[in-house]
This record gives sequence, C-alpha cells and structure tokens, in this order.
Amino acid sequence: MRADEWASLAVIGTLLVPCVLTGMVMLPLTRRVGMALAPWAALPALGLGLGTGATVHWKSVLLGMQLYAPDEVTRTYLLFTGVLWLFSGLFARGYLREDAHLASFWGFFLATLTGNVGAVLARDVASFYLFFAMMTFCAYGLVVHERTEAAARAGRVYIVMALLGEVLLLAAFFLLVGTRVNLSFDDVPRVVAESSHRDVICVLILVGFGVKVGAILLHMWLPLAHPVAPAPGSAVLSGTIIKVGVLGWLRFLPLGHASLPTLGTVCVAAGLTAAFYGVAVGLTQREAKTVLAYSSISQMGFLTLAVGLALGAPEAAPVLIGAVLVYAVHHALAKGLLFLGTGLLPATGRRGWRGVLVLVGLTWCALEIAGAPLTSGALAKLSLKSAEAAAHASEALPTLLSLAAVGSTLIMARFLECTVPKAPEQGKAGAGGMLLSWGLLLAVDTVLLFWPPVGRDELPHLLAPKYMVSAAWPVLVGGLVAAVVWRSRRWRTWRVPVLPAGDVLWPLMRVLWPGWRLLTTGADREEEEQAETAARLQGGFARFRKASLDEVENAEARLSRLSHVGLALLLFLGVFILLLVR
Amino acid sequence: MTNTWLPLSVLLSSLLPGLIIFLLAEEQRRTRTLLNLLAAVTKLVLTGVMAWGVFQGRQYETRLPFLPKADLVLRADSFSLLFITLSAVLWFVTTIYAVGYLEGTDHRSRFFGFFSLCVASTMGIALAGNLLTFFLFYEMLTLSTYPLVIHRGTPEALRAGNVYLRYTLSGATLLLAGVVLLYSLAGAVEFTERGALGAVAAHRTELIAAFVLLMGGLGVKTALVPLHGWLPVAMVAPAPVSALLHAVAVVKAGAFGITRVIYDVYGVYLVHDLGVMQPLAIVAAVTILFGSVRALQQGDLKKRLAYSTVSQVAYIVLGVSIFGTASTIGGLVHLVHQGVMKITLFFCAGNYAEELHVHRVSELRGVGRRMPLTTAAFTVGALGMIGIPPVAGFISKWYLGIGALEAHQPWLVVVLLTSSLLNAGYFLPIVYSAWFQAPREAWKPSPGRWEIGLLLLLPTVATAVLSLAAGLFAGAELSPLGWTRLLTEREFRP
Repeated sequence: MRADEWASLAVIGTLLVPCVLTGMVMLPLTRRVGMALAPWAALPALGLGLGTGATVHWKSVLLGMQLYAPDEVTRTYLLFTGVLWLFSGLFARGYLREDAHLASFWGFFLATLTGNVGAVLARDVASFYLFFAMMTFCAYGLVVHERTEAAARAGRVYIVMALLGEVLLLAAFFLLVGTRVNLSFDDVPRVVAESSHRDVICVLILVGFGVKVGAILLHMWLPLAHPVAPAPGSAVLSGTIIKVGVLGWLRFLPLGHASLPTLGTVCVAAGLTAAFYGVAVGLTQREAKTVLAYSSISQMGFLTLAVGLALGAPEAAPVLIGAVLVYAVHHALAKGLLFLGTGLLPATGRRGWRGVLVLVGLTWCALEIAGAPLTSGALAKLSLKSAEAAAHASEALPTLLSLAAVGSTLIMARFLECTVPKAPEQGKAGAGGMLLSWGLLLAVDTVLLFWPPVGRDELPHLLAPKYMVSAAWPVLVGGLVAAVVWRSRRWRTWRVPVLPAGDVLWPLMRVLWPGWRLLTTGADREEEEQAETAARLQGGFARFRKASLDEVENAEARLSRLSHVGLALLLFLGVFILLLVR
Repeated sequence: MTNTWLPLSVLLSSLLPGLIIFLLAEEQRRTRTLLNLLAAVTKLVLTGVMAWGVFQGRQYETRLPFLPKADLVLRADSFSLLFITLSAVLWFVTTIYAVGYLEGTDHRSRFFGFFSLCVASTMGIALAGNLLTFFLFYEMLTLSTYPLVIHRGTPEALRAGNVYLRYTLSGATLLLAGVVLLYSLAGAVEFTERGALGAVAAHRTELIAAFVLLMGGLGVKTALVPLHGWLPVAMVAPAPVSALLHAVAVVKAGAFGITRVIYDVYGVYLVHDLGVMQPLAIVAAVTILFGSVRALQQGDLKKRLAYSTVSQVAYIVLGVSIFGTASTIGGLVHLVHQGVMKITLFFCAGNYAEELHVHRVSELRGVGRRMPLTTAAFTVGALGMIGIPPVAGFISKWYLGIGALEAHQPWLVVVLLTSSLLNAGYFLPIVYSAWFQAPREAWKPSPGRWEIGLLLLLPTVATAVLSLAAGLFAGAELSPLGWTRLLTEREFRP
C-alpha cells in the first residue's frame, strides 16, 4: 500500500475501531471481547493526532462525506480528545468493575467516542451534524447511567436542551448550505461571511453550540448532568464533549473573514458574565462534581470571550483561535483529571501514600485551573492575554480576567473542601488500575506543559517575572480568602446559602412544565411529584386544558359520523378556497 | 423500443395470486404461503428488471382500450418506479410478517386474498398512465382495504370500517368530480413530465376548481387535516395491515396522487402560476403540527403512531407544494423514507402486542431487555422520524428545510423544526422507558431461541436496516435520494 493509502486508513480507523467495538459490545456473543478492548478504542484517534492522515472523501455516504484535514484545530482536538478518552476508558475499567449496567456503559461510551472523534474529523456540514448528533444522543446514556431519579431528571434536562440546540443548528445549516445541499468546511467561513443571512446564521450557531458549551443561560444541563454521570463519563463530558461546542464555533463562524463587532461584544459580555456567574453559583454548591461543573461553565466563559473577540477583530482571529486551542487542551486535561479524581479518592482513601499522591495531584490540577504560575493554566491564560492584546481589546479586560482567576481559585478551594473531608480514611483494595491510569494522565498533562501541541511561542514567557507575578497574585488572593473563610468557619458556624444545581432552570420550569403537561394531556404517564407552585399554576391551566381537549376530541368524534364527513370536506374546500382568494 | 407486457405483469403478479388465494381452503397453509412468497419474489424481480430498464431510458407501457378516447394506460416512468419499488419491497417483508402474525387465526385465505388485491391496486395506482386509470385503481384500493380493516370482525373493527368507508367514498366522489371536470376540459389527461395541461392553461377558474376537487379527494386518503379522522380509528386492523396502510398503500396512494396531479397533470410551473401551491402548503403545515400535537396526547402506541403518520405524510405534501427542486426532492424522498421507517415502527408495535400483549406506551417500561432487537428497530425508526442522522428521515428533513428557504418561506422551517421537537416529545419518552426503566414485573420469558418468532423479527430488523442504509448511503446513485434527484431534475428541466 502506498503512503497516502495508509494515511487514509488511519483516518478511517479512528472511526471504525470505536464503531466496530460498539457493535461488539451490543452483541451478546462478542460482548466480552468488546468490553475488554473498549478502553483502548481512543488509541487510533490519539495516534492520528500525533501523526498525519489524508483527507477521505466518500461521495456515497450521507451527502458526500469528507473527513480529516491536517490543520491545527483538527490535530489539537484529536490529540486531547484521544488522550482524555483513552485514560478515561482505562480508568472506567477499574471504576465500574462492579457496575450492574457495564455493557450499557461501554456501549454508550464507545458510541459517544465515535461521535466525538467524528465531529472532530468531519469536513462537511452534514457529516459534522451526523457525528455531533451521535455524540449528543449517545452521551445521554452516560448521563442516565445510574438509573436513579436524579439521573433521569438530569437526562431529561440534558436531552431537551440538546434538542433545542440541534434544532437551532439545523436552521443555521439550512441557511448556510442553501441549494448547494452540503458544504465543505473549506468554504464554510467564506460562505457565511458572504451570506445575506450572515447575522442570523451567526446568532443561530452561537446559541446552538452554546448549549453544548454551557454558555450563560444555556448552561442549565451542565450542573445537573455532570454529577450524576459516572466519573469517567463526567470527565469526557466536561473535558471533551463541551469542547466540541467550541469546535462548532471555530468551524462555522466566519472568524477572520468578517467583522461582527456587535455580536462579538455580546459574546465577550456573555463570556465574562459566565466566568463570574459560574463561580458565584458554584461556591454555593455542596456536591464536588457540581462545583466542578460550575467551574466548567466559568472556564468556558473565557473561551466564549475569546471567540467573541475574534468575531469583532478578524485580523486577530488566528492568534485568538490559537489561544482557544491552548485553553481547550489545558482545560480538557485538568478538568478531566479533577472529575476522575472525585471518583478515585473514595477508592484510595485520603491516608497512606496513595491518598497523599491523589491529594497532591488534585491540588496540582486545581492550581492549573486557577492559573497558578508554571502550570498549564498559566500558559493558557498567557496566550489568552497576549491574543487579547493583539485584538486591541478593552484595557479593563486583563484586570477582569485576573479577578476571574481569583474566582477560579476560590471555586477550586471550594471543590477541595467538598471532596477531601468526605473521602474515607482508608481506601479499598483494587484501586491500582484506576490510580495508574490517573497517574499516567497526570504525567501526560505535565509533559504537555513542556511540550504543548499549540502555543509553544508563549512557553518562554512563562518564566518571565512579570508574568509570574500577574499569574501568582490572583491565586494568592484567592487562597488567602479561602483560608480566612475556612478558619472563620471553625469557630463560628455560618452556612453558605444553597442554590439548587441548575439555578435558573427551576424558575423556568415553573412556566414550562405546566405547558408541557397541557400539551401531553391524554397520554397516560407516571404520577410524578410536582412542585407546589407548578401544581397551582397547573390548576389554572386545568380548566382551559379540559375545555380545549374536549373540544378537539368532540370535533374528531363528530367528524367520524356520517353527516360530518361531508361537512369536513366542505370545510376543507372552504379553507382551501379562502386561502386561494386571499 | 417500448415494452408492453412488463407493466401488466407487475400488476398481475399480485392480482392473480390474490384471486387464486380466495379459492384455497383455509387449511392449505403451505400452498398459500408459498404462493404469497412466490408472487412477492416475482414482483420484486420484475420491478428490478423494470427499474434497471427505466434507468437505462427504456419505455414500458401497456395500453388497453377502455372508454372512448380514454384508454387504460399502465406506464412505468421513474416516479412510478420509486413507488413500485417501495411497494414491492415492503410488500415482500409485510407478507412474511403477516404469515407469522396471523399464524393460527381464522379467515387467513380471505385476509391474504384481499392483501394481494390491495397490493395489486397499489401497483395500479403507481403505474397508472392517466387520471382515469389512476381513479379506477384508487377506488379498487378503497374496496380491497375495507375487508382488511374489519378483518377481526369485532364491533369496534366494524365501526372503524364504516368510518373508513364514509371518508374514502366521500373523497372518491370529489376525486371523480375533479377527474370529470378535467376530462371535459382537456380530454383524457395522460401523465406527462412537466404537465399536460399547457394547452388549456387559459381556463384558470376551471383548472383551479378541478385542482381543489382533486386535492379534496386525494386529501382524504392522505389524511390531511381535517380529513384525517378515519386514520386513528382504522388502527383496530391487525398490525401488518396497519403497517402496510400507513407505509405504502392508502396514505401513500393519496400522497402519490397529489404529487402526480401537481407534477404530471398540471405541471409544477402551471400549479405555481395558478397560485394554488401556497394554500396547499399551509394545509400541510397545519396537518404536520396538528398530527404531532395529537400524537403527544395518545397513550395507545398504535394510535400515537397513527397520528405520527398524519403528521409525517403531510411532510410529503409540504415538499411537493413548495416550488423548488430541493423541497420536491425532500417530499418525494420522504415518500420512500417515511414508508420504510413507519413500517418498522408498526412491525415493532405488532411485535410488542403479539409477544407481550403490550398496547399502551406506559406498559413498555423495560421492554428493551426482553425484546432488544425489536426495541433497537423501534429506536431506529423513532430517531428517523425525529430526523436524527444517519437515519433516512434526516435526509428528507434536510432537503425540505433547504427547499423552504429556497422558496423564501422561512416560516416553514419553523414548522418543520417545531414538528421535529414534538416528534422527539412523543418518541423519545418511549425509547427512554423501553431501555432505561425497570419493568413493572418481570416479562414472561420467550419460549423460543429468539425474542419473538423469526417470521416477525426478521422483517422488523430488515426494515430498520433499510431505514438506516437509506440515510447513511443517501449519496449513492441508486439510493432513494439518488433516484429522486434524477427524477426531480427531469421535472424541473424548463
């Protein structure tokens, strides 16, 4: 075989391997083999991220499928996606050893992986949508894996929001592709920039992918879904899957091709709001994984901000995209490690060498998220700041970012406070595999600091005293505040007010839920507990519902009788003619 | 070179076996099954030959003298082949399914006899070369499906049959009036690509009147709101009948007829010029939303599917009533896609009812563990109906959405997407409770090696695979999409 054939085979393999393994896990006959191989399914993706492949073009598949181009975005995404899925898979092998729904987990894990890798590889609109939807819907299986009522509720919120996002994206894609039916990513930014519906497309893309990213006011599913999923599931959800939303922005927005200052400013504002709002709500949470989810919302705010700047300043777009990539790699690995760590600590316990190792590792990752000097977080923030300078962003931005870093430090302190005391003193036997895979991921994370896939130019600045100071002070301030609060709580018991995870979702549900009940009246369903307010509001709807429903039923019953068939026909003709003469 | 015997033999390949089956005694199970399968396979082969020929540009036409100045014409063009291939393939799988489903019940000769007649009528509708022939077979379809709807003979079934007849026969009256009006205007109108009424285009009022009459008549079978009342009631029929009714025979005959009238009788340019497209699109849009909302409110699985059909068939009408190539492709390809997906869903509903006596949505909790393959097939069908790639429904929706924008009607995109959300609202809870919820009580274990008899399982899985393949390989030349694109290009060639 020639070299380019091998290269295309490598591309196909990254999709085919997890896909075939999904099938193997689904069939009882091959299930054992499939599940044994499943943790390694992301290896081809990682390999492709390190090496290079060749573009594959299948005209017969879907609407002409194109996969892979060796650009920086694809390669970086492949790299961190591959790494995180690989180690999450290896971790899951130990974590879920005694799980009751093991095959279900691996099936959804592999299918979601296929979707995730496919979304990174896709080079045309329809294929991207295919893999994006596949990832979204299969990740549902990870969210509801525990089969508890909380998981079911989180799953409902997740799927409803995901569907809303998908629908908005479809509308954007319809506007985008037009009569061309399908479009290669090579042409997308140009077509969007030149489209007469440019602004509508951009808004739809921003909101549609914003659901996945967890942008402000679209973030409700994140703090519900992350805590209920098993630790490896949360790791990939927060590490890579929400990043695909950002990937969508990078692929579909006309970054560098058009200047949209208004929309850009909105994005910057939304990003900054998310950065602070995530921290504020996150600090009130008690569940470690919920705190992490809110931290993700806050961190994704920085990426929203960068994308917003790129929308406003096309000339700085390449630098900003580079910064987004650095940030994405950093956040994916650090957040993945933290989520896996919440699953690991109960197994290792917090005493003994294993416990200390995990605690040190978790603290290191927390510092990374906070952006302490000499961590990947510092590199990410550095790239972001210099890119902002290139975009001539407002003078206040660096200060605001430093303040947000104080918030990140606080929320990480809150995370440690929620995690460590709850962990048992002594661990369980058999945590070795989990610890090993976690440790290896930590090692990879550290190696990537010295040898980053993107943003290598900024690396020397990391040691410059000026940047050391600017990275250090927010962490110090945050740490100090956290310490004071923690000390003060020892001698005076005061409590943080608790906000329900999902915050703005609940007031929203009070309006939406009765509406949904109204719409689905007649279908028998389980009697579920209802919030009192919802019940009261529903009482108001009840009469209207009954009246309207009876009317429809009666009308249909009347229609079924002989004399009314003719009436229906007349009605049909009447309406038709009315519409005609209109 | 024109081949004159092939269209007729495609028709006879189900008509003759149907007549023979009536003569068979009830106990001659083997002979009957053999005859059924033989006929289905013969039809598949004949259809394949004809499809290949049409693809190569050959002509197939049978012409029999019938009325003065109006022959009985059977002609195979690319559009009829789309429908014939769908019918032939789905008839084949449904026959297998029906043999398994009705095992050990009474009146099977009667059932299969009318079943074959029903397919023969569908073939006639697909092959009809002019409006008169179309009308003839359209009515034959009504009469041959009635005994199938009331097959169980229960009071409820008889009542449903009455409703069905009232609706369809009233519709037939309108249709006949429309046909006669057109006949008086332009003689026996032969179906022609890009329309046959160009010569009488000046008679706008008459043409519009005829169009409205035709749409009213065809709209009954298509179940356009408010003419849809019979469809949910007809759910009492046995599962294979519902499957065929919803996927190929009755509602599709209506949608096929609407398409024929718009494209091959009037011609899309004339219809556009007459200004009757927009009202039809509005009716279709209302039907789409109404069907979806009503489906949400059904607790009975088959009823929910029935309202879903009301909504989904209106997609076809919507597609052909928006002026433009993309929407036409979307509508026509949905004729095939909806058929394959809906038949899968009905097979699944039949499997649940037959094996576990489950009829209501709320009883499906945890059914995925007991019947994984059926539930997997159901999931594929449901995702396809919502329009999630790579299932076939996605392709239809993609083209319809693009087409709506091409025609500068963004409100239709809103309708389409709202309907998708509503579809998700009534399908996903089923999928969820089937896979993720624990059953109320343990299911009774399957007596055989498989979750249900193979005669019921294989057709279900096969159509699910077809729904997936039609979407995943939509770009292939011989996929439903490829065929439809070819066909639409010819219609829109100026």
